[in-house]
Amino acid sequence: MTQTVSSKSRLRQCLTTFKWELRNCSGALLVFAILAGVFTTVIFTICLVVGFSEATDSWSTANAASIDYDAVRTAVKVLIYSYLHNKRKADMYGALPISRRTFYVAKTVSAYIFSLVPTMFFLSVIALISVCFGQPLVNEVTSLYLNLLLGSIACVSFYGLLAVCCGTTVNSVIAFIAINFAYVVAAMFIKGTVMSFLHGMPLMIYENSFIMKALNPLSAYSGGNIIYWIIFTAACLALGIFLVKKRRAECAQTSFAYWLPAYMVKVLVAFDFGMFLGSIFGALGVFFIPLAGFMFGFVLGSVPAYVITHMILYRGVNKLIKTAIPLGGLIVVTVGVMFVLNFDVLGYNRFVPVTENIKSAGVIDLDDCYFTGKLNAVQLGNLAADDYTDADDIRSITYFHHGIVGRLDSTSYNPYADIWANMFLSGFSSSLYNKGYVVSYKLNNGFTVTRCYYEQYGTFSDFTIDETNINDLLDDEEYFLRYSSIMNAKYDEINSLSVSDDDNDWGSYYLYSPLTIQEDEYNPSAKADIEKVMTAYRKDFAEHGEVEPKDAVVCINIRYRKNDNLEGNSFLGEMLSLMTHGDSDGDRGYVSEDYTQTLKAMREIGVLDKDNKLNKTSWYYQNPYR
Amino acid sequence: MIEIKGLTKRFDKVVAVNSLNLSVREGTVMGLVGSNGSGKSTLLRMLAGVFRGEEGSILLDGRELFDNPEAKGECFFIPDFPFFYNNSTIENTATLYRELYPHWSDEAYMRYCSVFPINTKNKIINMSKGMQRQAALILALSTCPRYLFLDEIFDGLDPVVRHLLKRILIEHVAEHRMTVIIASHNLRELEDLCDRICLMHRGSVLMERDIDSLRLEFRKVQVAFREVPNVPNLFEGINAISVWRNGNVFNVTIRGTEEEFMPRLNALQPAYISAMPLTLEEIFISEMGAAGYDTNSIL
Repeated sequence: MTQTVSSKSRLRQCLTTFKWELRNCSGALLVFAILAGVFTTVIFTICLVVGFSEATDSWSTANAASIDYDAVRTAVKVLIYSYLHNKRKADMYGALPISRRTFYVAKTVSAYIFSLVPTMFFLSVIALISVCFGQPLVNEVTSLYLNLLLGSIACVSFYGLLAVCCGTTVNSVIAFIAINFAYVVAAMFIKGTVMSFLHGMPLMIYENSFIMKALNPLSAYSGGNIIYWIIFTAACLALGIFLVKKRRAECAQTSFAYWLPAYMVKVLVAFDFGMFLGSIFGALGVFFIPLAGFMFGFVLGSVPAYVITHMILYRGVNKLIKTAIPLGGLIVVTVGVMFVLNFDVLGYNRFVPVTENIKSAGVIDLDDCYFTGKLNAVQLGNLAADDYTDADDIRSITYFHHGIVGRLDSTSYNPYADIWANMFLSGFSSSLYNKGYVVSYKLNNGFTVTRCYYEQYGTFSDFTIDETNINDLLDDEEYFLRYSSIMNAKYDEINSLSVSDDDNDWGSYYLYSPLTIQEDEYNPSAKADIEKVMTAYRKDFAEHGEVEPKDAVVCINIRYRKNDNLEGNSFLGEMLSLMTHGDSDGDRGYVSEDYTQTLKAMREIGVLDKDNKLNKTSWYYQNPYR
Repeated sequence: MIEIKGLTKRFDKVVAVNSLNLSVREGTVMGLVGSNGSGKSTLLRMLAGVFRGEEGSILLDGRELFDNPEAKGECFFIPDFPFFYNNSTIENTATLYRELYPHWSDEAYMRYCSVFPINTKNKIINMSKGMQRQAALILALSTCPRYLFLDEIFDGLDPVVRHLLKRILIEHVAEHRMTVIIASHNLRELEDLCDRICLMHRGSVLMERDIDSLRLEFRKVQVAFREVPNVPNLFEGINAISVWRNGNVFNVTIRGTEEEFMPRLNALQPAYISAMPLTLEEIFISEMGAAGYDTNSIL
């Protein structure tokens, strides 16, 4: 006879379970609430010290701090799912008149709520107080709510699934921590290896993608990849619900109910340690052949790591031989892939499309492109692929590309030595110290080929890119119009606009300018003034074209900060961005006497006098904030 | 009615319950006895829906039991070591059971709280072993179960509470036709309480009988001879389960009634003969001995 439990009854059972959990987790929840309170005070103090308007910049720090007490959230999760791992609890809960799946769902929902409510409560307090201070942080709090929500449901669901698969709480926690971190390291090793062997591959498209974080639900707290984390959560929950009914209660206190997490942990850890030693031995050229060194190092690192992880998870060598097949598979696959990469079997590094097959092409100097950092290399490639259709221009680009490929081919280096450096290179930050180019082609068959090269690169420190073939393209007015910051930066991204007349030296890289339009408490209209000048400048540029410095009467220099920088999405990215970019980027434009609208706008806001010289009586003159 | 058909449960290579068949009628109090590791607790856990057998089925009034909340709502299981949270009291645990068990009775709860000498507001974890069992019993009986499964329930209970428990269970069975299955090594208590007994050994049922007929079925006979008859098999034709000789005196455990074995024994012309019914413990020992679980051969 099939069971007949109504939805209403199930809901009632869930509610009862929730109340029961609330009672039993009250201690952990109290600690959690206290920490959430402390966290709130920390944020609020930061807000008070730096001012609410500046608090957004501190928000990343606060966001990162919120993850620190995920340890407490983990304690709550452990308590909630321990009914699967304790024999006496299994007796009690297994005999209750509630279906296993309903019970698991009720437990999971309880864990969601317990993970979220204390933090959300205190964050709401922050939002409320900030509103009272007249500087609302509602948007920031809402964004943090979303991050917390995503992070919590992803972590709880993943831990719940592991708890179903594992026989003990210790194994569940080990699996959760190990998979979270080992996966990220494994992904970084793969990225580093591919970047070292496949020259020009625009791998930074994966920087903030779910691929780099797929089994690291802790990273969901940082935001981004919303769709992926929702799918991840749903998949973990569905798999947990499916398995929990089949899970044998007597598995409590045995190693595993299902071997899934054991294999994941062992394979990931073995891969990490194998790559660690493999890349070192490959770089050292052990046995005089880097690939042989890598193979030796990989086996030497992965086998003991696999055995030790197995002994930790299984409390001994029980079933070691039986479960060693994935290790063999891992070694064979890794060595096979490294062989292919090592000898460029696929010919990726040497590939430059034949001119006859190219419909259009494009090239971008990453150092001189407003969209660097806002778009990834593939997006930049797609953006530029249609730029040039003229056969000569396309030929210039392919010559340039051939030059890079030829130099790389003739450079004697050991790519294994680059793996470590490439692992930690984040997105375009590498291009800030090293000159970089994106080359892209749209082929006649409809495919787009994109390559991204950097001038200095790990052991390629002596590798330089000869841009002679593309100099004309990069200096072209069209390029300036399409990619310069002064022509493309959004008005709300421009923090300041410096103006210098021909009395100042604008020939050097660093421009001295005694007059800077920048918003502060005395200049509330600065933003509007900047917008007015920039609008006029862009109109003049469209009408009169680019101005050479020698023909200019005024030089304008903007400082801007990209709102949606790819690297600014996470705390680490923000820090990296600050370290590498300084506080903002800059770009320069020249104004000739033909730029009448620009000159008029500057006179109207009082930064130029009637002779188009700097107005020394302007409020912006000698602005201390410049 | 509980119907168990071909039930098998394995823990890796160990077969805890082996193709077990058993039927328990409504209103029965069945004692589950057997050697250590014979599968009693495992069987109770399967009856309670904690474990699931690899083969066979357990039907409760024709319904499959495992993961069936409706059927499990009529059962209550008190394991050998009941679990309570650190902050659990009888009162707060009752709030959970009140919501989950469809036949929970506040009246019964109040009654049993007053019957058992225990404070419902105290933390159960701080109570003695016996008091923890009383707490579990209060909660169990308040759910008004139709099927009650008890594992070593007498362990830790003082004689007064044991007596009280037996009385309550008998009352409950009489009033509500409750079915009780008690796994225990305390055969003396089972003898008082049970109307049927199931003897398990190595995962199988050795025998399952009405306890009164079981008592009548076995006799402990002492036979003394002035001179032991010189015959190859002295007790041939008698269903002797065990024979223990001390000189000219024989202590024989016989399956059968006096009418069946006395004529045969008298034919041996003993100097003295006496027959007494066996206690449950003696039946257990003799049956287990017959099944190869005989410590005499070890000591």
